[in-house]
Amino acid sequence: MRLRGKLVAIVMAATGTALLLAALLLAALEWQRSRRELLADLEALAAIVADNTTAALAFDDPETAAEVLRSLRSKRHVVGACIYDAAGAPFARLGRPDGPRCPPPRSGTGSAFEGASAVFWRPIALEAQPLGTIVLRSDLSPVADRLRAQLLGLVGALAAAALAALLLSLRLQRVVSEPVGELAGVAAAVREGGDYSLRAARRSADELGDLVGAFNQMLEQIQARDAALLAAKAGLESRVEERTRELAAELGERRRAEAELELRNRELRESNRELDDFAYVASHDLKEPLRGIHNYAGFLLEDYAGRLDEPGQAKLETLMRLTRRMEGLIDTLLHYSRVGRVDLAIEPVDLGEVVEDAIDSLGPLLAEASAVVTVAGPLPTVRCDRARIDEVFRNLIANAVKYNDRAEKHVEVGALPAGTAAAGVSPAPAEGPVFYVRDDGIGIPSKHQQVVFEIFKRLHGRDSYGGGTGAGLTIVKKVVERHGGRVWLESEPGRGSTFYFTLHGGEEGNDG
Amino acid sequence: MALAVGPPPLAAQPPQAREHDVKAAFLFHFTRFVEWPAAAYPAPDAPFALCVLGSDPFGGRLDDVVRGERVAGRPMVVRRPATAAQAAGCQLVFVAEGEDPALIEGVPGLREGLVLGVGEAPGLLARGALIRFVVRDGRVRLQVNVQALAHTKLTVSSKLLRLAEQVTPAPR
Repeated sequence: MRLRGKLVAIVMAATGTALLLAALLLAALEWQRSRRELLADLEALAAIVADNTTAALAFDDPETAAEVLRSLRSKRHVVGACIYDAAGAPFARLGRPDGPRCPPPRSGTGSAFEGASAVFWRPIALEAQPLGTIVLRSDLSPVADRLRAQLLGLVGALAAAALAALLLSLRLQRVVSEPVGELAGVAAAVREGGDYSLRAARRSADELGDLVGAFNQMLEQIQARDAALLAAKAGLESRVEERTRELAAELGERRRAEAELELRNRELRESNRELDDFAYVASHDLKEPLRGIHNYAGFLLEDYAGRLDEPGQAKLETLMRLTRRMEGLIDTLLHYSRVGRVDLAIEPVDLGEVVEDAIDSLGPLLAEASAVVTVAGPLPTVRCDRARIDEVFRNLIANAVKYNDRAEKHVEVGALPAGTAAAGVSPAPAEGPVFYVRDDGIGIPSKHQQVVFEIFKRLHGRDSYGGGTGAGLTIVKKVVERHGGRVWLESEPGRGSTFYFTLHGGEEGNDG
Repeated sequence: MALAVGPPPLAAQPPQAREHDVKAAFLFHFTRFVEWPAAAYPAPDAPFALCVLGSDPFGGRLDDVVRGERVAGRPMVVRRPATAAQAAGCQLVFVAEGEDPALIEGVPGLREGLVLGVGEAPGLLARGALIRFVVRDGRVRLQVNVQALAHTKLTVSSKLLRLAEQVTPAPR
């Protein structure tokens, strides 16, 4: 049921119930009053009859008494009237002889409702002398008639009142149902059209008005949120666009850089290959004539030994020595060049093993030089190029042995933990462990300590201290630096030298 | 007010006695339906005298009925005058059947209409009595003298009159 119907129904139910109750109450009251009036009527009749029959009783004239009683016929509701004499014997009566019998006489004055009739009795007295009793009996038709009339009237009044209530409530229910309907309408419109700019009109200052206000506020909030969402979305979209553009640009940049890098790499590789080829070819091409020279010198020495004098032979030997030396130089140069260019094969390498291998491979040299190499403590496993690091250790140990005057030479190889400060240069903690090769050799004066790392620079004569091309330390420096580390030395001439190197400059060793 | 006993139940009496019991009661009741003016009394404080002129057929009945009663505030007494002259000051005079009807004529005040004359004999009405007892069908009925009624100074209730047979006695 819609609200309007409900409101009207409520009012009608309340009004109807109230009216009905009032009507019933009135009817009940009226019924009671009718009964009282009936009795009062009977009382009055009895009084008149009594007064008029005193003489008849006094003078024993039942006929006259009956005559008086007959006058009661005009009162249709009186169905029986009886007069008793002072002895209680029936004296006169109204009604048919075969009609209902008179109720028995009663003393005093009284009334009663017996079944469907009302009874009234009183004494008939003549100046305080009781002569008899009159008993009147009436049916309840006056009450019924009255009640009927009353009810009819009430029904009519009820109907009229109900109609008035209906019309009024139909009219007045609008006070509630119209604002509610309006609000419902706006809500429906909002829901269907999705238009959150609609508002309901606030028409009263009661709970309905509050509801409308709250409703409007909610719509406002929704609107605001909608707008905020849209704005955010727009902002997001524009940011996304921007970012996409940026990314695209970056990507473009990156691609370009990559392309360029690729190009450079290719160029480098090309050039490396060319260099390698060149070096290889050059070394071969260079060494070939050298070999030839060497061989011919040998031939000469062998075949013409008889025809050459000693200075001549010595010259040929020198020639052979020189060619040998040049071959060595070419090889060293080739090796050095490769060390600088070829990719490092990085893998976890147990340096303890590497040092052992290096010592082993230097066995003859060590034995001949009466050198003892000790490894101080276990060496860690690090990521590096095994072959190259092996070369590093070999070079350093060989140098330590070669540049040593003592009868018994001592070389110590070890590792200092990361972060250890060494005199002169303290490595940063991120550089990893510091490896060292210490000797008790001849030492290097400080003014020469930079030069030793330059290629082919020997501080000493060609043939002194075991000879050598002077490239060993240069190669050590190259390898160490290619691993991202550093190499340096501490030395005291006459006491010994210690070469330090690290393999990592912070990150893992580079491999390219 | 004295508690009225009233006449005893009629059924208990033998028929003969009953007739006069009824008449005695009637006589008493007349006082209730008739008003006597002040002039009917010899004195303001005089009692109401119910007189039986001549023979008394009531026995003591009339005394019983009257005892303790009052009329208009005056006490009731029963007198039995032997002569009409002796009935002076009576307000109600009764003459029994056996008596000479002429007796009643001499009652002072009767002709003036100040005395209620009641009798049994037929000629009494012609002699000035107002009411006469007649017995019909075993019942005591009343006859009223219309002429006397017209002249009487007594106020007779219509209630009483309607019971009675209105009679115009033949002039004597």
